[in-house]
Amino acid sequence: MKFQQREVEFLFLERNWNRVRRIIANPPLTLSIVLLILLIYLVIAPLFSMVESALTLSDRDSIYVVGEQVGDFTNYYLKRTFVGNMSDILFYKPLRNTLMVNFTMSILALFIGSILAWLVVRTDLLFKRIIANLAIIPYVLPSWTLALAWITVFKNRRLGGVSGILEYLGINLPDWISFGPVAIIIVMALHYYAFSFLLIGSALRSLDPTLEEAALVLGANRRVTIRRIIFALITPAIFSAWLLTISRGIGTFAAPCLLGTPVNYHLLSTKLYSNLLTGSPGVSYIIAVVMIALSSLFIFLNQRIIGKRKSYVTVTGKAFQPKLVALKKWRYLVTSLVIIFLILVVFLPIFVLGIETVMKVKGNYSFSNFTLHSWLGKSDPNIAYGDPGILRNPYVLGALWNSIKLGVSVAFFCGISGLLIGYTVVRLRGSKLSTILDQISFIPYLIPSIAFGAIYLSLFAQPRGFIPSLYGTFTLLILVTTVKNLPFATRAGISGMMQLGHEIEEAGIIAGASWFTRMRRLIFPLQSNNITSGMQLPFITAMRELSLLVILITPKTRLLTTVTFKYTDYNNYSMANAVLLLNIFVILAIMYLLRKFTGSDLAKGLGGQ
Amino acid sequence: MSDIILEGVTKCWGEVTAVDDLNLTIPDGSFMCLLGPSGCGKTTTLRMIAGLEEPDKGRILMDNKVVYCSKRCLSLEPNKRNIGLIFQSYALWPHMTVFQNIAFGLEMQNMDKKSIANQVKDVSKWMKIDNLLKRYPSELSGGQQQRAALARSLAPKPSCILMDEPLSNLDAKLRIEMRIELKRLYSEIKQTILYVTHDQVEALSLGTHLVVMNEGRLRQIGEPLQVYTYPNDLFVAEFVGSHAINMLEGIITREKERKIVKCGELSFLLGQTEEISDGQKVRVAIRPEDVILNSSEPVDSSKFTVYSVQPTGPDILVRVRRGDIFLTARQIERTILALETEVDVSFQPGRLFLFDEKTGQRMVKTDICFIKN
Repeated sequence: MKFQQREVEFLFLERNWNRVRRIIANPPLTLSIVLLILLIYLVIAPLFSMVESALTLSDRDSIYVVGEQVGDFTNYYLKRTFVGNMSDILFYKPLRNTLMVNFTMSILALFIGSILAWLVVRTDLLFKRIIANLAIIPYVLPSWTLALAWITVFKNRRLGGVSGILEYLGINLPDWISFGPVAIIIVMALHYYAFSFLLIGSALRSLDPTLEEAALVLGANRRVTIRRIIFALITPAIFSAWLLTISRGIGTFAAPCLLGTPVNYHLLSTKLYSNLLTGSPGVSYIIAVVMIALSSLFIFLNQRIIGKRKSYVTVTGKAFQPKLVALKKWRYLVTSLVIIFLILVVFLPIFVLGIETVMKVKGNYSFSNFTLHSWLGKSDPNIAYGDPGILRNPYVLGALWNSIKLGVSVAFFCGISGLLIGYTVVRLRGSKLSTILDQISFIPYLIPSIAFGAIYLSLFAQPRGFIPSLYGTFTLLILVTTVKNLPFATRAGISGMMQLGHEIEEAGIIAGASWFTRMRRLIFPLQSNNITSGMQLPFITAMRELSLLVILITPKTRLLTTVTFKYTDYNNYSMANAVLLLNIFVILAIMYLLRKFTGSDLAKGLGGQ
Repeated sequence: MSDIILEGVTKCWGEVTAVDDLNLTIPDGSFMCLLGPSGCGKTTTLRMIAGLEEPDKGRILMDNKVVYCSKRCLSLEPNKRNIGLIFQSYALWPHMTVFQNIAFGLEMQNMDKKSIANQVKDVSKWMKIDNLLKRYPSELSGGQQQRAALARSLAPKPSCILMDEPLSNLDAKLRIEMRIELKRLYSEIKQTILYVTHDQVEALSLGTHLVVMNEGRLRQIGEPLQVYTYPNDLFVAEFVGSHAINMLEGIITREKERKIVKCGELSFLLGQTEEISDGQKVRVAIRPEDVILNSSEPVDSSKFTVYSVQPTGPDILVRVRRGDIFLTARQIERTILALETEVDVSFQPGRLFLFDEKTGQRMVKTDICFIKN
């Protein structure tokens, strides 16, 4: 009896010992738990913190609320945002504007993007490679490049300050062109059309050509085939591009701020910013929640559409040699039109910005007015508050260094975390843990940039537990940009690991290699290409990011983007443009180098989701 | 003495039971082929033996050592089981040369550089790839990759080699060539090999033992020809064999004190056993090569007409018809019968099988022979 009991006890001990040993011996599991804790802290906790901030009275508003102390729970902000006297100005009007602007903008972007995609992929357009490469440049540039160029060209005298080029040439412009919704819509559409271009382009490219040939053989002519087969098959991609553009547009801050705020035209994003800076922070956080909800709704719709109809787009292994539509006599005309369009949206803005930087007296576009002061000038108290030209300006050069530092660190951390999350998600596939990791790492995608910045501000403004207050540190910028880019990094990591398959690592397990050996000698070397190409997008995003970081920046952690923004605030457009051009130059140069040395293509990174 | 023993091994994927209470002994030094349709649990079984997958229940023993036991929560890591594994995709590491691929497992055993080089040389010579050691996998042909994968798994001298559909990525001609090589390899190393495949020609021609699995269960185990000639149940009869077995539906009736199976217009005479009863539904099966057309010997036969003729090269498949009954015969003489010609059909004695339709089991005790009508 006693002996039996001892045997049972022994079995119990052995079972538990074996269990512990196996968890320790299963690094993907251990790793996934560590990653999960990190992600909960960096993605989930901020969401709660934001809701908490929206319901907590801040000292700025404590004088308005009778009988409540700073830090108390309050519904003051909820009332103020949704039902108070100010609610129309604070919330409903910006909401209407946001929906209207994004809706119109996305349709326009979709229109431009899909036509370009079709021309490049399916017709005998000339200079396709160059056109395809130029077409995505507006997306790579900071989103307010076009906004600043717009101001430079279309600004009118009525709003004070210096007039734009067209006014100088004697053309009178009505207000609605210079500033406001029309300008915002056009500028944003010209930035976001690249999304539709890439998504629809890759859908067109991956269509099984035999589907189309089947229709042709059955007697359908080209036109019918395009309408009934090609168009029908890429409908999901079109919807997807449309919804993603809207959800991206909702979080955009810079263009609406530059083109809307001067005429008091507000969107949710600019309202969020102004409330955080000077109004009620609680209102900002509530607006942020609304923006997240809106954006999630569009993403959700997109998932529904893709989920149901994914099987539409068949990717064949065959090299795709579609029969190109002959444009015949239109060929040269269409090619010229496309090139003129690209000159207008790519080269002209940069040229216009460049002109602005070499003008001594603003608004005088004659040769006698030429100067390089904005670039190389020594400090002169009569010009630009005594700021020296940007290339000898320690303030700007510091920002340049910071921007590069940020880009490189974010690229590095995104590459690593993308690989690790991708690895665990693929290895633990089918388990709950894997699904949860996958989903959490996607959440930052749903959160509009400016709202994400607001969340991190609320979470890291004061020390919490053993984590010190990170506000004002460079670490916070790296952290927030990395997490915001995590969805892209993770998608890249997952698809890379899926391609690699299990067997490559299992062969290492059988050979007796430890987990670290497998990672070091098998996984990392085989994923290195994938990692470097996955790093490119986070790098560029970090280099041109404003919406996400504008509320988190302090003078010490200034970036090229925020310096540009500050100069526009001071109405010093020539310096702003010079900094922006410097920024663009650095981005394009690094993109070119990366492409040359790693062969990685940005279009790939943007493709998929 | 190092049999691999599986005791009551069960593995579920969510709701689906991939392997269901499997009891199997792989004798030391045998070449065992695991055959079944896709999704029958054969690859899962192999991966559980390798330690890449963990069963939910049961026990696995190798080299007289328990490597897995659900009761004790014990599961030895793959590298402690002393096995080699050939993957369907070969899983050669694309960033390493053939030499580095083969040497990797030896490095993991902390062997010194010189003995590694020697052993790689030996095994690669044996596999006839000693001139390819500096190449990368992408620079090898399919067959060469296969040999490199074999060399990599043989180099650490495992006590047992597991192969997961290793020939399925090769084209038909190369597959036959590699089949010969594998058989030669086995005769040289005399090591336990577990070979998973869905190709029954491979399964029949390669191994010393054949295991047929379906829906996670073991259906039959035995020598390959034994399994082919005497299938235990309907599934094995229909699955094994490259030409589908002829299957006739029938009912047992009594005719003048004799038990008869009526399959449409054909009748078969049964021996008297307790297995059968009147009105029982059964299936009569016969392989195409046991259906004889226009036999020169005086045997009981039945008139059929030719329905279609398919020459396949070595033989000609003739489909014949009588009423609702269709039969396929494998004809060796190289004459093509004209359609609608009348032929006498008879059956090779002793090759007719009777299956209970309800249980699917073969009625082993009952003799069956064809009678003329």
